Amino acid sequence: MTYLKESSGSILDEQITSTTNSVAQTVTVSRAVINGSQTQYTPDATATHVLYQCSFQWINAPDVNTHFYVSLMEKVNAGDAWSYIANRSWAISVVDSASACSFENIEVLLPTWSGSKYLALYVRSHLSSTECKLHQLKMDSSGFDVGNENFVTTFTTCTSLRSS
Amino acid sequence: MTYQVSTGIIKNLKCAISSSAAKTVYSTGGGLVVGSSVDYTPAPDTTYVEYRFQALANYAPEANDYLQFSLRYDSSVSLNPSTQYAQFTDFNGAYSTWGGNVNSQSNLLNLRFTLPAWSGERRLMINCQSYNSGLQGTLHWTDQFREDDVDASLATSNTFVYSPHYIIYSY
Repeated sequence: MTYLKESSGSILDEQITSTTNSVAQTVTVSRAVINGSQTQYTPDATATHVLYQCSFQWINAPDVNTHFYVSLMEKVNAGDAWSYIANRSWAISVVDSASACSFENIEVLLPTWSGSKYLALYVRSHLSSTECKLHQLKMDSSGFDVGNENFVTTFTTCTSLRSS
Repeated sequence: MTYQVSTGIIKNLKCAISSSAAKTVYSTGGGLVVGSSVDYTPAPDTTYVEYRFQALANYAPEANDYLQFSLRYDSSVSLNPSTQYAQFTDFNGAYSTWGGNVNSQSNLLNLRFTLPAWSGERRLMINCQSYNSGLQGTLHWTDQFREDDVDASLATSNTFVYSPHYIIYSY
C-alpha cells in the first residue's frame, strides 16, 4: 500500500490506518461506510494532490450475484453529514451467478485541500438480491460468515503528492 | 516470477486528474484513453519509470466485453494522441486486457507498468480497442450505478462520469 520509502520531494507525507475486522459487514440497499475506510487527513501544505487508498475484501454472499455501488465521501467535522465527492462514484458488478470474490485496492487521486478533512467509502447494494459481504473470506468448507476466522484487515492510506 | 529490487529514490513525479473524460465506447478501431496522455522526462540516473493509470470500465454496450490496452509513446513529442494514436509505438510488454462474459461487469481499472527509463522526453498515451466488434466496452462511465436510493431502475445518464487519473515517476 505504500510507495517506495524514499523520494526527492515528490511524496511528502503518508498516513496509514489499519483496521482489524472481527465481523463480516453485509452490503445492503442502505448506504453505509466501509468499516476501516474512514480517515481524517491534513495534507502537507506544499502538496498538489492527495492519493486516497483503501483495500478491502468482498465475497458474493449471501447472493449468487454481486452488484454494489461505491462512492468516496467527505466531510470537514466529525458531526457533519457525508457529502459525495464529484465524479468519484463507481460500481463493482459481477452478475452472472458467478460466485465472485475479490480483494479491492481502491486508489482515488484528489486535488489537495487545506486543513483537515474526513474521507470514507460509502457502499450500498444495487438490489436486495445482489448483496455481498465484506472483510471475511471462505477459506475452508465451512460457511465463510460463521466462526471467527479469516477476517481481512482494512487498510486506508492518504498520501500527499507534489506533481512537478 | 522475478522481482526487481530497487533502492532508488523517486524523482520527477507527475500526476493529474482529467476533468474532460466522458462516456466513451471503444471498438476495434482503437483510440486514446482520455486522461492517460502525459509528456514525461525521466530524471537523470534513474533506472525505471513507473506509470499508473485508473479509469472506470463497464461492459456496455455488448453483453460480452473484451477491451485491450496498450501503453504507447512518441519520442518526437509531436503526435496528437487523440487523432494519431496509431502512430505511437508500443512499450514492450505494457499491455492489459479487461472483460467478461454476460456478467454486467463493472469496476475500476487500475493499470500499472514498470518501464526501463529512457533519455529525453516522450509523450505517453494508452490506446484502447475491443477484441472484435461484438466485444465493445465503455470507459469513464457505468450503467451499474445510480445516485439515488429510491428508484429501482438503473438511472445513470450519459452525464455520469468517473474522472481518470495517472501517476508517473522515475527511480
